[in-house]
Amino acid sequence: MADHEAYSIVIAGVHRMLYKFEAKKGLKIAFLASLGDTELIQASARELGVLLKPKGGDYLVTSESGGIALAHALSVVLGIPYVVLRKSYKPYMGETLKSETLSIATGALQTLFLDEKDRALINDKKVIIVDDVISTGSTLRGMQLIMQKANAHIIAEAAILTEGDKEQWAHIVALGHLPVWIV
Amino acid sequence: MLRKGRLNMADREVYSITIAGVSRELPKFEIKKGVKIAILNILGDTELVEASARELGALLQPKGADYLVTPEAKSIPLAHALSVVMKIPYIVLRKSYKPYMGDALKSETLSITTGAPQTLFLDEKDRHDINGKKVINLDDVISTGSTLQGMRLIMQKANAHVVGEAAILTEGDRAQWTDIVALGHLPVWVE
Repeated sequence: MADHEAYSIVIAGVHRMLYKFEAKKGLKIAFLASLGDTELIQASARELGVLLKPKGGDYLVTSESGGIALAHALSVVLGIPYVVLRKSYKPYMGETLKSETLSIATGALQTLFLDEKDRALINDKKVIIVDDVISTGSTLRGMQLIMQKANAHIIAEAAILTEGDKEQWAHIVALGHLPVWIV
Repeated sequence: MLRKGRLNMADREVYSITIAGVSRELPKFEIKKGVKIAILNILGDTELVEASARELGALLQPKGADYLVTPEAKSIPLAHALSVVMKIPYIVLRKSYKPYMGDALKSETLSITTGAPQTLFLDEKDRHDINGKKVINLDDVISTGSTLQGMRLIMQKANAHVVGEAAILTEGDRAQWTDIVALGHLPVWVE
């Protein structure tokens, strides 16, 4: 770990050194380890909460697992519930909705499932999509697809950080942006 | 129409329970032929998670732990909320290996329910953090104990000292879980 290059960033007043790793040959990214970082999640939820409050969403929607802690903390701040899109189907999820998208980074198929009970909750409701990092956009596309199938209206999309092509993510409510490094 | 092996929302049986002052009706689900369990899904249930974290926090604070440890993914909101209450960090054991996890530790256990192997990974950076530290193993529901066994195994490999084990609810054989700090217990129904 000692010899990792790091990228220094301040998010919602919290300073972190993100270590850089080679995601694929010739491309380095900085990794935001948000799972377990309670200080960062709490600070980010407070700042995102202020930005998202005026949108008037009924539900937050996130995807397993990176967005879960943020969704919980933001749910506390905004006083609205959240729904988690799962990566695998469990029998107790009933009649789920499903989306399949291709990961731009790896080419692998990504599947997301919306639980039957959650389907009923968000039908015709205003939802805010949240994730820890929005990068290539493949997870975001999967979430958008399920919201469309579920007849939920996306009124905002938010993340702690966006990554990569900054212009592509101009509409995302975020607290910062990560570059990628071509080496 | 009731599809085989799936839940039907309309005529589903429920089990009523009050946890940390919060009442919930848990859907009952036939997990295998003749065996029904009640499903607690805390994902998205902010009220229940916050109430449970406050109560568990009061019970766990005296243990003097340095870290909370939890498996991906359902119990992450609980670990986060408890981390806020207890002011100690938490670590998530992942179900699959990602390249950024470095030289991870791994445990493999067999699910008692399904017989399928369950794998948990401890990230390299987290390994260093918990070496020689006091940890609390945490889950939303401790049921057959296979996930708990996987957590114990990784903690042993990581040289972390388990000073407590906690869950919102235990399930099944109550006598087996007397050492678990929990806010309630779920029966299973054998028909």
